[in-house]
Amino acid sequence: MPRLLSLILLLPSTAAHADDYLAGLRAAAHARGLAQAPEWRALLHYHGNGSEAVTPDFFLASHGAQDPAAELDATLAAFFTPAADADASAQCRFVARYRWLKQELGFDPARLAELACPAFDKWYAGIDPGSLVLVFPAAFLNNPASMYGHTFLRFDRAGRGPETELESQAVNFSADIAGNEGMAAAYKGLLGLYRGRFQIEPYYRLVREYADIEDRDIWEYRLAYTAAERQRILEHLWEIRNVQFRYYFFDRNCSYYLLALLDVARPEHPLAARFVYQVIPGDALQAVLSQPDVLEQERHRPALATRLRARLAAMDAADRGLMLALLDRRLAPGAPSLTALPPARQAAIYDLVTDRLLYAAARGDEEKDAYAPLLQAVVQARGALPEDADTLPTPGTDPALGHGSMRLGLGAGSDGGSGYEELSLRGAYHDLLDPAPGFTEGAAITMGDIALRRDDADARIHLESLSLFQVTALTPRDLFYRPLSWDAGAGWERRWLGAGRRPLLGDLHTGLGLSYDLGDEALAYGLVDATLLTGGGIADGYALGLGPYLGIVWRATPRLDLELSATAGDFPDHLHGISLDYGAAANLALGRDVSLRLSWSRQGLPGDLEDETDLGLYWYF
Amino acid sequence: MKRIASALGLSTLLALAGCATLFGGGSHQKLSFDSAPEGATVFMNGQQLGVTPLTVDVSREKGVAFSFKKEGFNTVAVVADTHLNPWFWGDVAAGSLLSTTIDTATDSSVKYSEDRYFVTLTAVGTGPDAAARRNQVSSYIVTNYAAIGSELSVQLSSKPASQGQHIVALADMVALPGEDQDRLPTLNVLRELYTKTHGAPDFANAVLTKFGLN
Repeated sequence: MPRLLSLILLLPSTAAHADDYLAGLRAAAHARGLAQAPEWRALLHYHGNGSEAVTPDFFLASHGAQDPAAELDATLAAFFTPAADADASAQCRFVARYRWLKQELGFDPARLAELACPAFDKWYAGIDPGSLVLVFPAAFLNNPASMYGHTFLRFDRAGRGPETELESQAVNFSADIAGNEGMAAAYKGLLGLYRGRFQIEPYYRLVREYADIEDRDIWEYRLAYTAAERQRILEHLWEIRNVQFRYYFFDRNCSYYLLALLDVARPEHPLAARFVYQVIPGDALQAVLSQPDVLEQERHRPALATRLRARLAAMDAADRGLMLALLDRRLAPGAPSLTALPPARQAAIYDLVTDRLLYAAARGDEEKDAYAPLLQAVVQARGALPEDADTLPTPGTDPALGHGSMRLGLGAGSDGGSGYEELSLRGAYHDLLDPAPGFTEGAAITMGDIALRRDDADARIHLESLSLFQVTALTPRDLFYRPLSWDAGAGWERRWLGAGRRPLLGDLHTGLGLSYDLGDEALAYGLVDATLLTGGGIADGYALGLGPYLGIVWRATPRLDLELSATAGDFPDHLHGISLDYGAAANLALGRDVSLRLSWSRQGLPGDLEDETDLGLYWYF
Repeated sequence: MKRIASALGLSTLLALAGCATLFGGGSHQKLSFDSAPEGATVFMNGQQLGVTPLTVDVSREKGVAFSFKKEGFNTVAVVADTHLNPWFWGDVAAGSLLSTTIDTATDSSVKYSEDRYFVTLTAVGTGPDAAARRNQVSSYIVTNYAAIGSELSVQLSSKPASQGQHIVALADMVALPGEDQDRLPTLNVLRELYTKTHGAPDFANAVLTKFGLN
């Protein structure tokens, strides 16, 4: 109360001086064009002519979301407005703005007193940004929102060892979706009807969600941002911790806003502005890592499921037998049949049993009293082996090595005996033959894929295909995992229907099946697809069919991928026969972002098949 | 334009997915509740059901309000609602796109395995920081229980590099600030509690009691 009283008493005498000083600061800011400076625009999240922040409280001027100069004037004025509670003052609410303007304009503490901000200081100390890590959980095909992977930031506390990483605070941008919106959630995300915000939560929660529950590998990239840069990011995060932003699934998503947050630290080389139509997490990761000398350290945190699969794949039949005997309690840890093996093989068996028990336990499949005695005995037997017997494989490929997600193709070939040239463009993201590094094995998602052809016979250009989306999830089954593989797609493409006819047909299909790892980087799959074809080229305008979709994908060398595939669709009422399509394709990666693809296929109705041969050059960007 | 085209594409698939809900999923689902401390009386929409640990049937079709009451503790209220299952595409095949889950925004309840929830009760008069710490510790334990158990099973030493990340985090959570230089004594206590108890809720209760997080 006495503080407030003295403030009121002092007000008339100090007001005039303050007004003069404020006017001087505003004039200096205008003269230097600070309102258009990249730092100020980054702090206000300006993109083009307006801000992407939608929370009115974030702006102090009535048109602050469209007028950065007005917002700068209002911000300077607000710094002079007395507040009974310092934490509610503009200085403490907008810490990053205050510190940047102070640095640029050299505030005189005698005329603009700097306030202590106890709430901010406590919050900042709780996060303690000793280092900055960009975290990338790999793609998760079972949820549309995670199909391309995800990105978020983590702040590790100063002076703490890597053993404390789970306690670090993570900064995650996500859409505000009410829990029970069901199907509407996906539509709204695509159409921009949601808002998103940053959330700060302990890293262990995210590891639990992504690695333990969703079986996604996590990649961690420690970034060489300076202490001052990390501080600026965190100060800005304080300003926007309750601020909502426009959210669009494709271009205003978690990765876009992560880049926008990093831009606050390095506004002179903005990362977010590099993206126009879409921000795919892998592309955002590569944009961050493209900064000179930015990567300090990289770490792979494989999901338990990944470790299990890799250990199992690396184990021969005899050791698998011992491992299963341990799991079935037919054999005890330390039994002679185990100790007779070299330490590395014993370690591999114990590690696999440990991971298997943990996996079952983490899912609640087994109660502690059932698994704990064996787990403890196995872990202790493993601990008695020499430390260098660790056989942990590091499966998975670094997403930072992945190709760009858009693709431009130029090709030529022959179809039904007639030559053609083809131009294609794909919006996203990866098919089964594209260069594999950085992508999940057996997972393919393409969206917005269009191909135009010019036929040599009549020199006319026509639409060859337009795929809206195609998702193929081939998750191999093994001793422990029995996942189903599935695919789904929609679009238009030309199809040989016999008698020389090749109309453009709408195609909507989905299927379920099984996949198996054949070893040596080969994967075999078999699905049953249901397909709806539509178009004027079919009697009644539509045909509904069912049939197998079989194939083998083989990564013959790190650069060469091969595929054999065959589909047969029985469309009993409308096509008067079985539609066949089988062929082979080879993709040679000439570099990370260039590949050459040769394919041959035979398509049509039995006894009336046409050949297609194609050679295409693809550029990923 | 591209955004609209993509939206149309996914919408088509979602429309297909919508059909799948017609074929199954069931109208009821079992939810199990444990609590720290145990012995809380559970009410569903005001009607008394029993005492924790408890398993109940809930309808998938509408929101259900649960409350957990125990003398000397603040009542915890949670709402179970029907959500889009995060295992979206997989459940298209399984025919059960919707599942009932608890809104865990309050931090006092946490889902720790399929359909199992752990509710943390706080003694009347506990300050907000102490209550938050209690909730944090119990939710951390029940969600990371298997990993904690495995890391506590090895020979523990004072070397931080030999200590697993999950137990280091737990030791730091239960220790007083500044006591994280040598975690070995805390880890030994945690191991003893782990060995004596019989599951995640039991262990969480024992840790909260032992470290005075009441």
